Amino acid sequence: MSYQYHLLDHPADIRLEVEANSLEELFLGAVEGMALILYSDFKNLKNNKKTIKQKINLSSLNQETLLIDFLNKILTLSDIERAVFPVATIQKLTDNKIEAEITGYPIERFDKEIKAVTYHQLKIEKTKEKMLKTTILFDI
Amino acid sequence: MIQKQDLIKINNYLWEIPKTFRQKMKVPARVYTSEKMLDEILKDKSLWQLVNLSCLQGISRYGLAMPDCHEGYASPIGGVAAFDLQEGIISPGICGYDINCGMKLLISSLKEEEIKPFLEQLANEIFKAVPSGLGKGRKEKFTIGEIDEILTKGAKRFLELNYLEKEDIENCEAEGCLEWADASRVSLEAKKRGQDQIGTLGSGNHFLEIQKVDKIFNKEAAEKFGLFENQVTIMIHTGSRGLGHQVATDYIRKFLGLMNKYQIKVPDKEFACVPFNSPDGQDYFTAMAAAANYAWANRAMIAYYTRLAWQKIIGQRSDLKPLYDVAHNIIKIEEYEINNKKLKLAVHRKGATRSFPPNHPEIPNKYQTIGQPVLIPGSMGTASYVLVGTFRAEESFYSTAHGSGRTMSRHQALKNVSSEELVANLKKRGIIIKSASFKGLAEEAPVAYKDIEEVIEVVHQAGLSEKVARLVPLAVIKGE
Repeated sequence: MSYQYHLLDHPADIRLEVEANSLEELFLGAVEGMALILYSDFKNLKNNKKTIKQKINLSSLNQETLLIDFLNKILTLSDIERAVFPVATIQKLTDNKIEAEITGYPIERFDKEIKAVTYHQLKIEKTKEKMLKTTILFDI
Repeated sequence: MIQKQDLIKINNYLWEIPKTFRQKMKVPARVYTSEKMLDEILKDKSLWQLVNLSCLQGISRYGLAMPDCHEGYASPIGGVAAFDLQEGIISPGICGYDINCGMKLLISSLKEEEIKPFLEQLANEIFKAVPSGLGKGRKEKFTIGEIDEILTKGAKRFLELNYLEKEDIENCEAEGCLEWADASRVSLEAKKRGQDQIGTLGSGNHFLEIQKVDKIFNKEAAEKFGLFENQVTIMIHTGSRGLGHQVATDYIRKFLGLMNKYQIKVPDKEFACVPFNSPDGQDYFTAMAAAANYAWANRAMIAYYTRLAWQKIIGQRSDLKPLYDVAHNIIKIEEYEINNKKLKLAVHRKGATRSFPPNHPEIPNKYQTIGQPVLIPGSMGTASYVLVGTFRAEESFYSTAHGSGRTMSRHQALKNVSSEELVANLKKRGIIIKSASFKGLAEEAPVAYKDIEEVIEVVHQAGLSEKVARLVPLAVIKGE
């Protein structure tokens, strides 16, 4: 997959910057980035035998709000299932709709609690290198 | 960014950004701060966000920020805005995701020296009894029907079930229940998130502390509140947990899609709002009230589990009486005089504590002659304060500060101080710390926050609330 993400400073909360070749990869990078905040060792969870799969179908106003709504939906499921969902398989993605299956792993304890994924100053932009880039603020 | 020269000094503790600063401002923006703290506030975007807040439809008098304000995600944390019920909006983002995050203070009749031999045991027992909720949580899982009861009745539900005393309800904002709450406006997902989180603290700056009264500033008020020097107290800081987060998330999403319908434009999507008096606005208002009820029930149950732990270790020598429980993230309808007319306003407090004066009808009978207890926590290991509401606070819609307020990012805090150092430092000062994970503890280090003493001095000098007592931690409990 061609995406990268990293955490940025914020006075109170956490910002996640994601860069990717395509919209789909941008979504996948954001899903993985959120998993990193919730449970930093999420990569080692992939060997777990127990997995949880959930289907998500969502409509939203536009690409940007769709991304946040998608992440919030995953966050809700994480809280209810006490699981981290670092993996998504996207079946359909348009400017305002997504159909995906997410895969998660039950955990003993979250590293950090995310109250919500916010729409604060949200933009999906094209970089000079023709990559897609966004910065997401998580309320901690 | 806003520069110091953009502000007018009204007095030593109040500064104003005039309405002329930006064409779209409906009212001036005001920040309660000392000049020293203002220099700090100007370093982040909180005043920019305050100006944005002051542009919203139907805002009354001023957009306000408290001395502990810091950058948030729409309006600043530490912000207050009151909206006209007819012309104004209601915005979940200006209440925040942690609906009715707030403080509860329990007081004992024992002095520090009387519990000292048992302090470690007591801290351990409370630590086991009150989980953070990030791990396994509580074994008790409420049914959706039971959650509906809690959303409707708030803390009063646990009085019915004999977990609480009558005094727990009397000494609580709104008696622990907003009667206009409507559980049917809360999504099933929100209720599911709330099923096993009653009686849990959450993470971040939420805590439970065993404290002692270190200093009394106002003898009369302290006596009325039942406070005396060296007295052991227990302070609880938490809110409506995942249920409240979900209510805010659901309605911000919904309102984003409705703003075209109501022809409302906002400077940031997180201000998503609708007219207060619209059916959509009322849906959120009643759902927010339900989440607020959940938060009071949550703090009440934490008090219940704390009492069990207390009885096990300390025995019957003293019980833990509730001094007060007050929200700092909430929307309430309150009456104010605006342009010589009495008007009902939707007061949005996001990181601001209500500070009602003596004789106010909404405070408990026993505090009528003295005013509402105001509970303001410090950062980890620092002092917390009990203050009392004032008449002067009318100018800030009876609002005051809610804590220290962050000045440093979590990442920066971790770079500046290690969790080991922090724990060692607390230990050196005789403060016990109980936390399931020490990994991210340094994110909450005092160095990442403003000095609570400066915050309190500003609200005291500005007359938004008056100092009654300072409490210092003996044990900090972050939950299993």
